Amino acid sequence: MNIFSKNKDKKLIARVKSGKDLAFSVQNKQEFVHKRKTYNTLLIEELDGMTTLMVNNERIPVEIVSIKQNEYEIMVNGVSYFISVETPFSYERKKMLEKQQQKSGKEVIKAPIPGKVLEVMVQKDQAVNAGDALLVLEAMKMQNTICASRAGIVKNVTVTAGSVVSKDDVMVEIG
Amino acid sequence: MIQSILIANRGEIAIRIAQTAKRMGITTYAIRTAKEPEALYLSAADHVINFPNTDSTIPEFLDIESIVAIAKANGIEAIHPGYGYLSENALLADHCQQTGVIFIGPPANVIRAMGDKITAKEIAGKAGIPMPGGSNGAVSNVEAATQAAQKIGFPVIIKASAGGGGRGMRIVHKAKELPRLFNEASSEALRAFNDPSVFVEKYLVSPKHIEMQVVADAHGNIIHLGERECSVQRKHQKLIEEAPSPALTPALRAQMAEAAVNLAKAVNYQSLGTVEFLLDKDNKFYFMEMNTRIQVEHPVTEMITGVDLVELQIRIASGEKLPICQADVKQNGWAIECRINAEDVQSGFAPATGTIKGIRFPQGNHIRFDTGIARGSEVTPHFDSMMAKLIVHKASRKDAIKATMTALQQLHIKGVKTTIPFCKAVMDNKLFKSGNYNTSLIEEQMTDLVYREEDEEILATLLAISHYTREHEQVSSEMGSIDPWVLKKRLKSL
Repeated sequence: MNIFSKNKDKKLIARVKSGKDLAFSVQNKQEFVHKRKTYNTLLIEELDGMTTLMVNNERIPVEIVSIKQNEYEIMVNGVSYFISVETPFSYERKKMLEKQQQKSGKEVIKAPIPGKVLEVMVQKDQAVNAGDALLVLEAMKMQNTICASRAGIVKNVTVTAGSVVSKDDVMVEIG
Repeated sequence: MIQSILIANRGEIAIRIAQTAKRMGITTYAIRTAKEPEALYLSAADHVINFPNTDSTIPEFLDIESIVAIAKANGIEAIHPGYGYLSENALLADHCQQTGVIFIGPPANVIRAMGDKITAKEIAGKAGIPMPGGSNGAVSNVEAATQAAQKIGFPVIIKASAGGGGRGMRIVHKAKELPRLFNEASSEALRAFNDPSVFVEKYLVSPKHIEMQVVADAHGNIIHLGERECSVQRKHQKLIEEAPSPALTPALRAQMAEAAVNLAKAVNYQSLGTVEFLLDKDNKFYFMEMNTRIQVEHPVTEMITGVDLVELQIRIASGEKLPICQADVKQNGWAIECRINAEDVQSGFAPATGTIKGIRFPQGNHIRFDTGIARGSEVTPHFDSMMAKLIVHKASRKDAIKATMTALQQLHIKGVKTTIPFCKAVMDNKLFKSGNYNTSLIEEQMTDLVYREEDEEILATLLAISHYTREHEQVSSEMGSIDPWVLKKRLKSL
């Protein structure tokens, strides 16, 4: 997928857990283009308690089950989709990290960029699944949720909320 | 005729009972518990009685003393137990009789006889109903169990005599597994039912589960209302039922109905009851058990016969004669019931909880929706996960499946995960559509337990993207500002 298109459009990539990565160019707050098709969206809270997503004038009952930073659980027709919304930058970084982690059997979570740890969600000896949020790192004025890319047991947590980390500092180890 | 009924149950069945009682001009009383003081079923009754504060740890709807005391204190004539809870508890029937309250169900001795599986098998065997081979009566030790198993051949199933709900039950494929599984089943039975006795039976691999509805009055009239097909099961829990069964020929239906009626006669049955059979691949049927209560899946029978089963229960309990005879009973068309449970199918049917934030019902004259929930209802871990039942009635099976699918597509529940996408997957399943499915359908035959509508994935991502864009306005203004070339460089230097 070419996420670096020539034009100056803003881009966002939606990564669907055990599904596809879908790239959207952001026209404005309501309009998105994916594969040359324009989607005009409007989110409506209905009087009967339902939430409707209007897409190009079609009405679909939806539900946002949870939001954690850029990670969403969304239900459409009762089916859950776990989606992380990435900027081109965070998307590439995640891809790169995943590639690195696949090489080694154990996952060492290093700080990808210098920053400050805002929140640590796991503790030593805790079992985690791939995709579970481990910690939130603020870097480059953005909050990034660092997730486990594989299932395992947390072997070590070397940071706490408030820790300042340099690039490549080990934060969490998963074995 | 009974003038007042205490409904000793909750959820959709409490509402279902109240509806018929009201239509018959009977005053209804519901019981409010502290676990769900604002539940929907309370609005269906004429009177609501608060369950008394007691020190007892027994769940409210299992508390025989308190329930009968409520009926007595309020001058209520009869108790309807619904299904589950005390519906097959002979002690409630006893207690009612002793205190002069009418129990809407069979006499205590019938409940007792059918509740004990070994006794039930004995009676059914004497009535000439086909039995799967096995130990005649309880087996007291591993040696006796092994002997019985070797006589009939493996696989065998060890069942608790007092069993129900899959507890105290073990399937044994090889002789060497038997000692361990025998002990497991027996100790589980002791813990669950306070009775360690178990028996051994031939285990049918992937049978069909078909049950016959019988109804008998106190004047010796016994009729049947045809069958229900309940083979869509997961871990012995029914999820979808239909009537009639696509597996039965008129001849086989007649045989099974005759067997069910014969069993009802043999125990002097009174009230509504269900005889459950297993049907093997050679179309041989075997007695499994008799349920002495109204079933969850009774609406499919009501839809195709036009008979109100709760009304029959009340009339029989009032001492009336059956208002219909066998010749009046006709099966018209096809009905399918989908259980709408609060379960997360994508996480292995794990129970889901939450507040119902919104609900949209399907529409149509062929649709019946028996619900225990409405907008604002709490789905808590205190009770079982069934929230509602969608029942669809059409002229043919093919039309019924299609209409059920459409109804499921119109049904939307917000706030809790449900089995709706699973029910759709069954309606879309080739084997289910063919009608030639058995109890292995869900666990062995279905590859995808969730049905996804077209474009669902892109709709979900659009919602995430549009929400993200609104929440991250500042970020979004920067998104396009990094030159791709610079970005690649920056990534490499990380």
